[in-house]
Amino acid sequence: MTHNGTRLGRIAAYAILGIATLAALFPIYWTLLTSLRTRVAIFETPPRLFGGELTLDNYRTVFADGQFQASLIITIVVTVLATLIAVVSGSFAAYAIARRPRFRTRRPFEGMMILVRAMPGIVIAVPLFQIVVGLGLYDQPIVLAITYAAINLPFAVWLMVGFISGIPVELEESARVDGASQFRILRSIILPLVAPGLAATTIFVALLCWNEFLMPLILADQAGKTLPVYIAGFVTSRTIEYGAMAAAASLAIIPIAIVTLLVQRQLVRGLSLGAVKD
Amino acid sequence: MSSQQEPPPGQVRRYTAAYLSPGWLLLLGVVILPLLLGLWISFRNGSLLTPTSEFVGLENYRDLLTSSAFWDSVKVTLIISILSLAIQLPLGLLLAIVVNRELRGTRFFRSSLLMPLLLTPVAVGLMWRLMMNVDNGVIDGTLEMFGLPAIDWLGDRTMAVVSVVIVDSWQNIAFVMLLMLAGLQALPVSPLEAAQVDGANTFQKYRHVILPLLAPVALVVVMIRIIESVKLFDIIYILTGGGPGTATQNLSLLDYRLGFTFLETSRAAALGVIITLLMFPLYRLWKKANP
Amino acid sequence: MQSQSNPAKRRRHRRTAVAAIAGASAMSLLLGACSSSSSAPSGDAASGGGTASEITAFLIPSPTEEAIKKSLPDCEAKTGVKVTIVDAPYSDAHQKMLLSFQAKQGAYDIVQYDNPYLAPFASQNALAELDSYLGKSTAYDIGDFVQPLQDYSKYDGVTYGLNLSTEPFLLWYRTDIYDQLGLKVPTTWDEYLANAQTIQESGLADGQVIANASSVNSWWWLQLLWSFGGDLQDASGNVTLDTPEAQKATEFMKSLLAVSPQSATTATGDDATTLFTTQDVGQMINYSGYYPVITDPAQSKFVDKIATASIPKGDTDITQLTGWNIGIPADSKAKDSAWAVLECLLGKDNAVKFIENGAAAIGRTSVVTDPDLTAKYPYIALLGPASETGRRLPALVQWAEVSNQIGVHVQDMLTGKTSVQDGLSSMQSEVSATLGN
Repeated sequence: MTHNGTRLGRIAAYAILGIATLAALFPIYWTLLTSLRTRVAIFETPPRLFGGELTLDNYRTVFADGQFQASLIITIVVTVLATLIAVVSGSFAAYAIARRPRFRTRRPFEGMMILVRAMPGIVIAVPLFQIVVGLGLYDQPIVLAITYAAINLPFAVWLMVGFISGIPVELEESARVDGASQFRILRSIILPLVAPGLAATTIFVALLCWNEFLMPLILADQAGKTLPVYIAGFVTSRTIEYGAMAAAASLAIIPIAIVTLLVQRQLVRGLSLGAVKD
Repeated sequence: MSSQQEPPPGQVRRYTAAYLSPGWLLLLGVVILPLLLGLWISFRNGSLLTPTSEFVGLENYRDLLTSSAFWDSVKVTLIISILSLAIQLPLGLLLAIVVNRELRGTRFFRSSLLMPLLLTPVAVGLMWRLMMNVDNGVIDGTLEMFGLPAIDWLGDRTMAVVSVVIVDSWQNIAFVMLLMLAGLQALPVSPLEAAQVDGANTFQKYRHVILPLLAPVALVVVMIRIIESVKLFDIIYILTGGGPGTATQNLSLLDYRLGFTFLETSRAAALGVIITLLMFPLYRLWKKANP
Repeated sequence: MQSQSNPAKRRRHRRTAVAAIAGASAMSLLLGACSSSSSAPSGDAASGGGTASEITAFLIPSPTEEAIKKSLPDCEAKTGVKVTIVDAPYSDAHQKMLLSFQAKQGAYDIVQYDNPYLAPFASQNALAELDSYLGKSTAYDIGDFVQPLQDYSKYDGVTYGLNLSTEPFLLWYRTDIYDQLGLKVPTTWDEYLANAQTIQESGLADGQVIANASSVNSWWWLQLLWSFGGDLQDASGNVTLDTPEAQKATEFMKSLLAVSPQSATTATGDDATTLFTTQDVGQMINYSGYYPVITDPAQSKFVDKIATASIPKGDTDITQLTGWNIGIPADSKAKDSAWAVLECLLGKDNAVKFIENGAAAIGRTSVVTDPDLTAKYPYIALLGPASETGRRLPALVQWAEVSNQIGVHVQDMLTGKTSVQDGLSSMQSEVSATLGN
């Protein structure tokens, strides 16, 4: 809408973008650089902003014992599963909320949503551990997936309610008059219209799942050792292995970055269709 | 929406219940049960240091509410919330406005600005801890290169709080920007055109037309950021460990200390219940943001 | 706060009872140890025994964990027991172990733990007693440890772990800086401070570094408190932190901070080591366990310019003794298999290899007096004398909380948020409340 800014305005805009981008990227750049340096070089004073002797040793360390690869696979599996569960069950709940403004369990459900969203994970960590161990489900990736899904459910519901409310209810009604079943209405009317929003929701939930730290720390040992927990393991009791940590963190960004960048246009479009619509 | 033609009530009720049931099931298993168990634990004197426990009523609550550690951490939590809102709301809006101009190269800038969201918080904390070191960190190193005085980011009580807010903002400002950007793109066109016709300049347009229209989005952002700064844990834990002293110990960190460091499960559970109750006023905000 | 006194008192009562029984059984076991000397114990151990072909070991990321991983294949072959290793960062490891102990599912058969957790683990009977195994094991040879090191893994007279490392405080110093300034290795804390001031004034380097971060500074502060003749508690268990000795220790720590790198204010032991090994710092007081880090050329710029000595003395010559323990959880269903693996890993024969695999040394007499080894790793020779005058951190069930209370107050006093007087008196009342008196 404001494509026609003044020259001065454009310069100011580029200046702001430039500074912000520098601030956003520098720590990422520094992570990458740290991953390519020896420990002695990492702590060199005064710090060298670029160059110096670079090495791939940290990456060799990361790949050496197979744990990184194992953690990568676990994290992908758990993230995909959890996102699927959260987005699907969140979408159904959101449909009910968006289309039925008054139903009996609406208030408690919404109350639970805000509660789960607002409550620090630490609050349920210990009791959850006791339940999971009691059921013999400790260190099971599927338990992690379900836990992540539940924790991120409110976020999915919140986004999806916005998207679904944005779809004119008349479309559904006319289909219903034509004799379409509820399932068909969902599949051939709601789903296509809500697709960009669904994509945005999926990405945000996946991002939160990808980086979840506390739950895998408490609820798993080896079979459920996700990347964030693996990365935290470089804080050893004698030294923080910054180089290897940075290498693992840099590698861990790649999968989620690819997905995010691929759909970033959908992200904004999706959000503008739903979440922020009043 | 209230004018819609109602489908037969029986069918509606059935699908409403069916559609909510997966959500309820998840919440029941993962949140409600542990919360109830936590509530029960909070009335006992259980700890990982002793195998047995007994009912002590409200003792844990009374101890917490009369301890200075609790009130200090409430203060820290509030300060961090307010500071991060004060930084993230205007900066996020500014970035959204600039990105929304769709200047050449916007795609690159937008992607770059999203990157901090992707780095895992543990690594965020560790990398900033490295960069903010007053002796060998790159930030002070660069400041000194330009003849500026080094700042004791993590060792000074006030600066430590500021540092936590900086790092949290670094990671999350992109999220605020995305929401604001979405808000800008969803704005109705007519008021803007009217302003254009009236010959309003850019500043006036933002001041009188766009910002008021963005208010609901801002409310959503405020709510989310308040919640997130109360929940803020990983970054503080790694960056400052709550220190120096208890200068950056917010409620989440205090709860972690009680439960994970001191191993006092019941006291931690009681604090968890208190934190959850403190969050309830947000319910009203939520209803306001999602009418 | 009054409320906390009841559980604490209960704990203490139970502890006395346990102590009485445990003391008696330890006596008989020690007597037994002298007469019997058959090697592998069978399933009749008092702790319940049990064997399995696969067991799980819970370790904590550290050079020691890496050394265990390297030694394991040999021991797996020798014992026929396959060991799965799981680990968790130090900050969460003990909590996870305790959760698993209270779940009583036998999740872990071997646990690596830090010595201050011996008390909370042992006081709730979460660990198997090892005296019956030790009494029969020539391969382990407990007699190869001096008495303070045998006591290191005991709680109320019963052994609940093996020493997985012996890490006293040592003085680390830069030989090049000492030479250049004509400094002598300090034998008293006053000399140490004087050296630090000389180094600082010379502009060559910062004077010294220790850990001041509230998460760990209690360990360094206690060392100073002991050196200046104070202690956490008196003989009858009353907290004695608001004393002239504590005041002296705190003031001394403050004068040390004045001649430290700026980031020392929030430095942990690891940060102190990083400062000492990557920029110019003249001296450091830190645990011997940092030796593998300090002498690794990839991590340390001054490998050839660093020497070690025993820490300076004050009014007493107490040296703080820390180090990992490793034990067998009481709920393990394969204690005999776990013991067989431990016996192989930590037995007398594997001791040298363990060090060469990168672990911090375990202070066996045969190790600290081995001329080849001490020539190669000079710090090992210091473990002997340090063990003789060694004192471990107080065996308190609530150590973690007490340590945090001390840490926060010490940091407040160091950074001038509170005066030493006020800080100590509020530390005194907080710690007293936690310990229930």
